[in-house]
Amino acid sequence: MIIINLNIKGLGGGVKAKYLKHIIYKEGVEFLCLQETKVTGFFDFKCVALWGDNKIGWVLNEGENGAGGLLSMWNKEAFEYRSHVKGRGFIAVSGTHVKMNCLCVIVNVYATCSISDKVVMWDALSTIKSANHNEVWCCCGDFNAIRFMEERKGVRGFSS
Amino acid sequence: MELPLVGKKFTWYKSDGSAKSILDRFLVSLEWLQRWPTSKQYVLQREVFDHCAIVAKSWAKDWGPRPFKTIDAWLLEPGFKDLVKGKWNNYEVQGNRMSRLKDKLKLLKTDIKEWNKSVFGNIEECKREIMMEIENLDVKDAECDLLEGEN
Repeated sequence: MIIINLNIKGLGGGVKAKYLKHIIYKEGVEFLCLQETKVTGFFDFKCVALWGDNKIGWVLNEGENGAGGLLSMWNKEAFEYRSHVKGRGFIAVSGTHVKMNCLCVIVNVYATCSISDKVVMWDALSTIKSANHNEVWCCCGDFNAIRFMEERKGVRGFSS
Repeated sequence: MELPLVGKKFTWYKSDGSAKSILDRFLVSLEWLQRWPTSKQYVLQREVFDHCAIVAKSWAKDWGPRPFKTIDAWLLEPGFKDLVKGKWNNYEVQGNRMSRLKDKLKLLKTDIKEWNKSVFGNIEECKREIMMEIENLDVKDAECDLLEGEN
């Protein structure tokens, strides 16, 4: 399974779309997770243009007031979509990875800096996970969190 | 579980370069690793963003075609320049300029390899022989003083 993850901070300009298209082609990406897309009313043709192919599926989570939008997108030939769940700050897409014939859930996450929001989000995700035992899970995104001090440089003070 | 990070050490860089962190990551369930045991997350070059794109995939990186290399010692050998000049002008290749250059380099590589063998021989072998000789002399030196000529 080849998945790409990027916090894109607005999908607007052509430069970003061009970069993504290049990476998708070069790496043979099967599933794409974008955070902070900042788009509303995403149209089919935009997605097709982004991937450079019309054999794709996608789910958009517009976020709140244009902040924290998420986009999950996949190649239909590599990934057979079954269902999805959207929540505050995440999209979980369930489907089959064709080559491996493997049921998987791919979660696209954008966590805010607020700890209480994070708790709500992780609670929602773990509820979903405990209800789905047959799938293998991959959770990627911008977690807005570091686990150890070594994961950060140049920022003073310590949060969460 | 977090996939091993390959490439860069951080995924986010503040635009003025004063701070960097790992904010973006891939977490997978144990079963995922059983399916794709060699999964890693590769942090790509940062382009127009403050975040780096990360690719999660499960096979080793393709290093691409082998580069064309030369050894400095070849350039000191008198016959080398003439060999290259002579060979280069006599190759018959077709296609556009880029592919002609590529094909010529490929042909040159084989010719230089042969030339290297006949002129330098196996340098690893030579090195081993010399090292052995030094080693022998050292042993001899430890036992008794070397003769004038052996020093």
